[in-house]
Amino acid sequence: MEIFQGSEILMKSLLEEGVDVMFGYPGGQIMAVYDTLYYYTDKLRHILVRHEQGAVHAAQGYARIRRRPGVVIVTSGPGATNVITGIADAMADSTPLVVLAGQVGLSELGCDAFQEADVIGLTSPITKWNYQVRHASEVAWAVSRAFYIANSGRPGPVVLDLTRDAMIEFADYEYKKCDFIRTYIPKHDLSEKSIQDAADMINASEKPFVVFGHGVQISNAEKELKDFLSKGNIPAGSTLLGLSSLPTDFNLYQGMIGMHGNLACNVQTNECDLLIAVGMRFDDRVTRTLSSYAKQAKIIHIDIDPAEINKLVKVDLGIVGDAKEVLAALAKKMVFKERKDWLKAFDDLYEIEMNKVIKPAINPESGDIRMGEVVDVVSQRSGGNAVIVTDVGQNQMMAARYSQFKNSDSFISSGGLGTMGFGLPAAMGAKIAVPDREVCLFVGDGGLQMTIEEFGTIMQEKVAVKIVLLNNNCLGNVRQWQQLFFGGRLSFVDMINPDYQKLAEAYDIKYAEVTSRDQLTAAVDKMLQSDEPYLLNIHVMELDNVMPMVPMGHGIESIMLSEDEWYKKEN
Amino acid sequence: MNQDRYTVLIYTEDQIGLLVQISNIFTRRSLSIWSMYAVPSNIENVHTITIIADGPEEKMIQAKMQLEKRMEVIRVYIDKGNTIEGWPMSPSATSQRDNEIEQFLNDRNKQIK
Repeated sequence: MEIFQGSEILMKSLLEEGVDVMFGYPGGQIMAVYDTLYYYTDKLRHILVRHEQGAVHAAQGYARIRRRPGVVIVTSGPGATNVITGIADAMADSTPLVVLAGQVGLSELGCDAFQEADVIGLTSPITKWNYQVRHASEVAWAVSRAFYIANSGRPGPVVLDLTRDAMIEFADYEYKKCDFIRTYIPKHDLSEKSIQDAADMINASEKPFVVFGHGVQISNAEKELKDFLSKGNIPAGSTLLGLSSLPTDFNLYQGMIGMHGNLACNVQTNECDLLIAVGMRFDDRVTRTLSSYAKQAKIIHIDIDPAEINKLVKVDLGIVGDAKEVLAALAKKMVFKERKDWLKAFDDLYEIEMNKVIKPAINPESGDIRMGEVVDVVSQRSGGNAVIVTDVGQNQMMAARYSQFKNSDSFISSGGLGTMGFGLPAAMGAKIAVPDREVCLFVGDGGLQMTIEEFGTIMQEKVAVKIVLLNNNCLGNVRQWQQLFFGGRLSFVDMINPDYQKLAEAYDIKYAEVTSRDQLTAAVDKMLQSDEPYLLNIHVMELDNVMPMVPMGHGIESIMLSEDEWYKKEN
Repeated sequence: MNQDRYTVLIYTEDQIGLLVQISNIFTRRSLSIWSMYAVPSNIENVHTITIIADGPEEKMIQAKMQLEKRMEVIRVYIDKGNTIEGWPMSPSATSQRDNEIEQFLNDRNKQIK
């Protein structure tokens, strides 16, 4: 066994875990690690961000598309507190992260030392696991455990609080990959009885509907989902984070569920006789008012996390298991049913939505450019092959509603926490993860300015991300709510924007501006043809609203089709 | 929602900072903790934390599920009412559960490669 300094053990351990990229920012208490990293840059690519929040969102973008932990490295105190938002975001969206934070020396702990913060205390509620590493002898053990926990079962963020002592001491080094913790059962064995019971319920159902979420991609279960749906001829809708698990042109795919979801998906949730939830957690943006959610239906809930079963929606059958395994087992027992009337009802509802919402949103005949038509043009011109990253707000909902997907791993967004400022660094991380794929970010002028400092990282690393700025000179989503539900009192939503052209030029980012509809397609084509970072500033309608909408306090079947029209069920 | 009193018995590994994590899980769900008692159990390297708390059953079950997700928590038992007679808890009150935990850990330890 060889002896190494703690910081070198850290580098060796990261390499053992297959780490190739880290997103970080150096500082006082992490200096020893950066000093060692100096000798490892041939094996470990370090992306120097401009703010630690950028590092953690970039790591999220990387992790989501590579399906492996994104690695963040920051210093103690403010370095660590600046990653809190991203860690909470990763926890909400089950994103695997390993965050390495510097910490003061053992003798200074608890003494209010310079740049000391209680990182363990601060991150306990928002991590899957956290641990303060006090000695070099613990480093390899803690790293192996961190990666195992972050990426197994329901993934999530892990924080290692690295004291200065642990980084500068010397210790024996031997790396043992962790694949077992006696108190942790990441995947439960399937119950044959539950599978049979579920199959019986599904085969007896005349009007089943599947709602699926992020768990499908996390479990690598896209093929199994498709087979399961085809075998039973069952329509399905996706949560925001489940998007791209099925190709949008798959015949049984009905679109997105939830607050701004597709009309058919929401209406039929309250019409089906069996709701089958796969790898999703009945978020309130999906269910809206729980007291009227799918009350007529029997419900089967499949999830790898036992704590999600019966947490919000009481179910008739809960199956704790990996979506891939459960769907494969169920598919073997499925019976094909024609379901002509049931499937036609989805088509009829889509027709209503197409005429009342979709066509006006993506094919307006006059007026200002609408956000939906921008998303539609980008989607068409990129052939549905781009990775779509969004920020949070109207840009996010429009991108989710109108993007077409041919491949899985093509939609990255901040779902559970809804973090404005997520988009730009996440898109950067995604592009670094898959440099051969086109990565397009949809972002508003509010969200872009929250993490705009990452233009610096994009410049330095030449990250060819395509930034589609849906510029409406205001905080559009808040403005929509104020207009619709707060008596039209627009309180602090107007923004005076900076000169984006000058900003782009300052950061060596290609720039173009679209002010009229006739410029749009050519400008998008030019952006997609570029192999450099690109900012396309599109001036869109300021008062555009995202529709349909299930407002707060309403059931999922209570749907606004426009500002003055609600969906009425036809008898 | 009805508020009832519950006794929550938590078996854990020996880990610094776990008490705070556990109490946070109760606080976040507005579950009121009346008392909290941590002590080494009869099983080697295993501790028990006993919490008497008030809250609705639904929230208490949610807390149990979240507690069991913490890496160092081995198992959580919830009983309605204050089941503890005498303070600190007598070894006999938990002996059956001790046996269950010991059996579980023995089985898990056998899986270590």
